[in-house]
Amino acid sequence: MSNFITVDVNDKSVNKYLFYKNFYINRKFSASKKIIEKINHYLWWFQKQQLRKSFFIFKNNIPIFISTCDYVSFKKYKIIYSGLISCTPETNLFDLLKSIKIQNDYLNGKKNHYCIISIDKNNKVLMKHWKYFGYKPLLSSLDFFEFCKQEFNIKLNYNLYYKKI
Amino acid sequence: MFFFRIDLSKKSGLGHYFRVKSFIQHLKIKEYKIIVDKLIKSPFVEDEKKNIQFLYKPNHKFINEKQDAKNFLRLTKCNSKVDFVIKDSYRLNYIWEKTISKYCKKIIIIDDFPNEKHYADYYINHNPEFDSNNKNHLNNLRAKNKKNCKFLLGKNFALFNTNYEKKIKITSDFVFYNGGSGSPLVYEKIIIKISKEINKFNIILIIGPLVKDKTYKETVRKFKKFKNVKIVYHPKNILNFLNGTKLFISSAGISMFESSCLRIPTLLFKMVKNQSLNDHDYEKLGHYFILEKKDLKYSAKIVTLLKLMINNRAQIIDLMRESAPNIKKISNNYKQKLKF
Repeated sequence: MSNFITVDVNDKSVNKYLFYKNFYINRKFSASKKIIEKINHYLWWFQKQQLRKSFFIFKNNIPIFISTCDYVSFKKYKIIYSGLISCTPETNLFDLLKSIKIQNDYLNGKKNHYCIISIDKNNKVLMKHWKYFGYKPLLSSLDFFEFCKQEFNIKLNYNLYYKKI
Repeated sequence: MFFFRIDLSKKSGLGHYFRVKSFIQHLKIKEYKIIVDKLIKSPFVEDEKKNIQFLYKPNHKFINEKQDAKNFLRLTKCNSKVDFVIKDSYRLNYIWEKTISKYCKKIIIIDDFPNEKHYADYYINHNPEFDSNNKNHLNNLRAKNKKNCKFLLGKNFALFNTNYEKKIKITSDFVFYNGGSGSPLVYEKIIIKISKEINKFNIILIIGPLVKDKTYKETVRKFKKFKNVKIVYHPKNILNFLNGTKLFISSAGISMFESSCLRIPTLLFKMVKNQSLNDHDYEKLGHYFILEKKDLKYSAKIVTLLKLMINNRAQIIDLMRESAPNIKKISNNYKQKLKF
């Protein structure tokens, strides 16, 4: 039986965080496909990461994912934009789905928030599974659609989904 | 008697000298001689005059290990029953050590490159990568060394300068240092940009003891009009400057141990080959912010990073809390392992 635990990301993770972010599997599904330079990562770490709530998901004492949640507000809406960073060069479906579930358990504790995720249209696995985690497509008619697109720098090949907690 | 054979020149820097001085201090060695190639102009050498001997005349130079060993034995008249030889040199390896070992009681070597072949009774490598007692590392070192060689590895055997007057604190916002012989002008663009900031940061630029006079003069000329940039020429000790600064910017040489020990937030640059450790190894000393030499070209970004690091000093100091080398522990480790 696999043992899954979560551990908060802290400043000691600064270099490991970049190491994982630069895995091809993470760059493939992110807005920028380029390798992130250390200097840019350090700047981002001090400017943005501290506003982000991130935690490692460990399976049998090995980190498999980092769950990230960016908290922002727009008008009356409290928004959490969440994502996953793989800590291994390749992921398996079971670990991915388990990590999404762990992240969802965390998000479900955030009452009165709108949780947003973005999925690359080419990511066939996630495109099939978003509905099982209670998400709905974020339509342009919704008040915070444009805000989210700009705030989270969402490219054309991504779909946005949301759920209200 | 203890004989130290070290590299000390503008090219090789001061690292070897500081390491053996630290070794002498930990073991409270009274009688010793430090053998270097040639006379070198430096305040350190002046202070050590009676203990420093020169192996080569002005018109002679190093040829090979064997010849160097012969010259060394001629100069020191080593006695295999009483004398110890400690070597900290990148040019001298197996041949030199094997030749010398016949004429001394024990041969101790201080090294940075674990893949070189050696003939040592004691092998010291303070590279933090060895902290984890990695069996692969140890087996690799054993295979490349004399049978029964004892290994003193990792940050618990770190050799760096720990001597300074604790009451003297020279305050500043930033101290820039590029090692004992590195050109301080690598930081030129960064210092110019940051000195123009509205906050008027107080900046100290240290000119290492082996930096050429020509470079020093050029540095003075370039920063002449910047009143908040103080140039410190050939200080005998950088610890008082480190102790009073908010942020230290340095090459990832011996000074990274010093700033770690004093828990001074530091931005390190890997300037040369022997500074190419993994991030994880720098982290063992509490250094989490390490850039490559090539990153110096992003001067505007580095200035922003320096300001962010100053603003987040408390949390950076916190990161260093558990990792700082403990001087007492290091001294005890040496006393336990090296019983002469």
